[in-house]
Amino acid sequence: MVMHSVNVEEAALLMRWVQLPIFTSHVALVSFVFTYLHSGRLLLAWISCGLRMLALILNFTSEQNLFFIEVTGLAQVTVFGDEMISVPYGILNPNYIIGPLSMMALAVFMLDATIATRRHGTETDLFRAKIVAASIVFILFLAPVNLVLLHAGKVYTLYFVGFAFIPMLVGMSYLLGLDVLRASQLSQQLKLKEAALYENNQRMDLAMSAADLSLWEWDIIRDEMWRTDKSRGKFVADSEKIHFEDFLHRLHPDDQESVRHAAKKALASGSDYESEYRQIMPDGSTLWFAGYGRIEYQGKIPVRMRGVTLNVTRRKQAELRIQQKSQKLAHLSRVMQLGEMSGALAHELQQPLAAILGNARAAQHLLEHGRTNIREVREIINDIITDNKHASGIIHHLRQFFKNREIKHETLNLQEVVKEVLILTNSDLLTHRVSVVVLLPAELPLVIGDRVHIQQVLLNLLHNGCEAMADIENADERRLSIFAKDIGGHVQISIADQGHGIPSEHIDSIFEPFFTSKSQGMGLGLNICRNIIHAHGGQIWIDNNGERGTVFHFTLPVCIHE
Amino acid sequence: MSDSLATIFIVDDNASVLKAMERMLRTSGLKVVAYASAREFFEQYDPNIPGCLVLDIAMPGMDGLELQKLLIERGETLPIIFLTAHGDVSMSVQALKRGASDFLLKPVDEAELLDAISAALKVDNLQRQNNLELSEIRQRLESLTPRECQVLQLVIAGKLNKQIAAELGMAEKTVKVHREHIKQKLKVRSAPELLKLCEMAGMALPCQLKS
Repeated sequence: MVMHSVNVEEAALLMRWVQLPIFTSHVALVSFVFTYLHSGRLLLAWISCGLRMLALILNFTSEQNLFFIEVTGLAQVTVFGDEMISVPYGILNPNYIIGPLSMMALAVFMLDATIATRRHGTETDLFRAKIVAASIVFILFLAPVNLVLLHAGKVYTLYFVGFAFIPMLVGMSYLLGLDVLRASQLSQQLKLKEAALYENNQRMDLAMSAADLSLWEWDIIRDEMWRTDKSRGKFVADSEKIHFEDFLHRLHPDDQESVRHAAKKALASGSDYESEYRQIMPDGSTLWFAGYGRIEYQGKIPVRMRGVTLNVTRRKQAELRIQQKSQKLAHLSRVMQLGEMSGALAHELQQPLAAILGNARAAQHLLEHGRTNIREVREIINDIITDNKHASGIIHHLRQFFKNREIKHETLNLQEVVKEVLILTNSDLLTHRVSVVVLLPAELPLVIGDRVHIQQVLLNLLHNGCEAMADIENADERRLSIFAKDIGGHVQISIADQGHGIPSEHIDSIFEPFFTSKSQGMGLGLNICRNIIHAHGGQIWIDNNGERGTVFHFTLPVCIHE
Repeated sequence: MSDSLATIFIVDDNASVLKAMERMLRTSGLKVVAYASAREFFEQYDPNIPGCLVLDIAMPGMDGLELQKLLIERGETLPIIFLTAHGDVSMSVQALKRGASDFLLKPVDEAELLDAISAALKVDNLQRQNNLELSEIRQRLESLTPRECQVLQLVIAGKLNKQIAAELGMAEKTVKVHREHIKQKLKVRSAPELLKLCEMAGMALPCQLKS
């Protein structure tokens, strides 16, 4: 603009104000070096900026500007062919030297930074530094040249200085241009990646939604849990952070303990966390969930657990339906079994009835004709009551057997359980002329199970044992033995008969449903026994001893007191 | 052989039933001895005691039918009244075929049982009387000399004294004397009585067996 000024005053003013953009450019260059090349000595930066600052101050404090104390005239110079520009000339300001000095300081600073970059800069930094270095060299060349020429009187001003900035600017523009290019490339890549990420997220959302899944994380150290819930029935606020205990309290009260236990187990053993639990919804319905989680460690310390939760309500409901059907089947089988034993059961009930009748008649005799054997009458009455209780006991027990009931887990004393079964089977055993030997150790631990269902299994096995020995001549050999032993964590119960064993071709199918070698019956008995034992968490199997008979074994879990 | 000396034996494995039956019969004025197992009864049974047996069929170890078999094998004629809580037809037929006195269902009606016992005791009585008579007859027959036995055989066969004398090589008079002795020893007064006595003793005369 100076070059196009029309008169002296304008030129002088313009030259004054031009120092301001020069100052800003200077500072800009310094910060450019810092940010772009990531190097540069602070001291040098301050020196050069300080000098430039000084120049600026001098510029505004001197009469006209930094360059001239007074601009006396404008010379018209022809440059680049026919372009006419005005070049001011006049009395040089003695302080003008500050200008170039600060430039040189800047150059030094930039050079130093470039060298530093060569030593420990990145590839890009190095590249940039080279460009910068080139421009610096140019300035370094130009500035003193300009000075020399000035002093020599060949030129009137420092207008070359203007030119000195050009390569710098060119260099900077080139670098910045490259960066812009790169930025746009990166931006494109970013867009692509974003699109891919978006796609991915959509797929995940779909998957989670379809599977009714939600993701969760538990920061173990800080005890904070949060989850993302894309499942269909959203009912928990996203990104809500809660403590583990808070989470437990949201579960169905009956399941809280087992979930806490599962988490503790996972933390203790390092295995994956697995649990199933219910939650009661605000609308009153109950939903089932299955949670799976994996622990992340820092060294040996668990820091985080990440997992998923599935809504398994439908599956659980189906399971429950199957369980109910299975129960019904067991019930049916039980009823049929009792039906088969009805003759024996009638016999069992008729014994106490016969005793009661006989006793009553005897009491009548004793009381007639004024005979007063009160002591014996009292004895008789006591016996009648005892027999009545015995009969009622059998009937009560039968009613339990006839009921359709779900498996109730209670602690059982096997001695009692076996004793009760033997009362029910007493007449059946008599009918088959079979004797029973019971060998249960006195210190046998209590087991967990459902009384009626276990007795159903025993009943079935005993009955089968009787039938197996039906054709054995010798009464002493028609013997059923019941054993039990503690095998650590479980009790193993065995029922042995002295029959002819099970034909080898039947061994594998004996527990299958509808398998029977008898002419009557549906062949479900053993299958249901297996279902019952499995539902108790036990195993059932056979030892086939051929001609020496068969032994059925099953296990039940021992009751552990916590 | 009056009923008052007769003993009712009861065998039942179920303790309360056994006690109740024993009481019921005892308070009805009968003499009762109770056993908790068939084997126990079998080992202690004395055939000389008159009476009858009230026996439960379904028992562990030796059951009622097995006991009946054993008694028959031993030649015992004690009348048996079977009691059972089972209503098994085949069992009852088997028992009765083998000569059981009666077959009743538990819980048994007192009157029915007493009737059955009464009938059984009558039978037992009769049998004992018969046995006694029989043994006496055998005794008398055993008192005959071999010669007398030979004569008796031919008398029963319907031979005349003359024929007997000829067959045995003795005088007719001797035959007559023998016949007189036989009549005295056997305590009969006429030939028909003689025949009857021999019938009662069965076809095998002791002297026949001897020769």
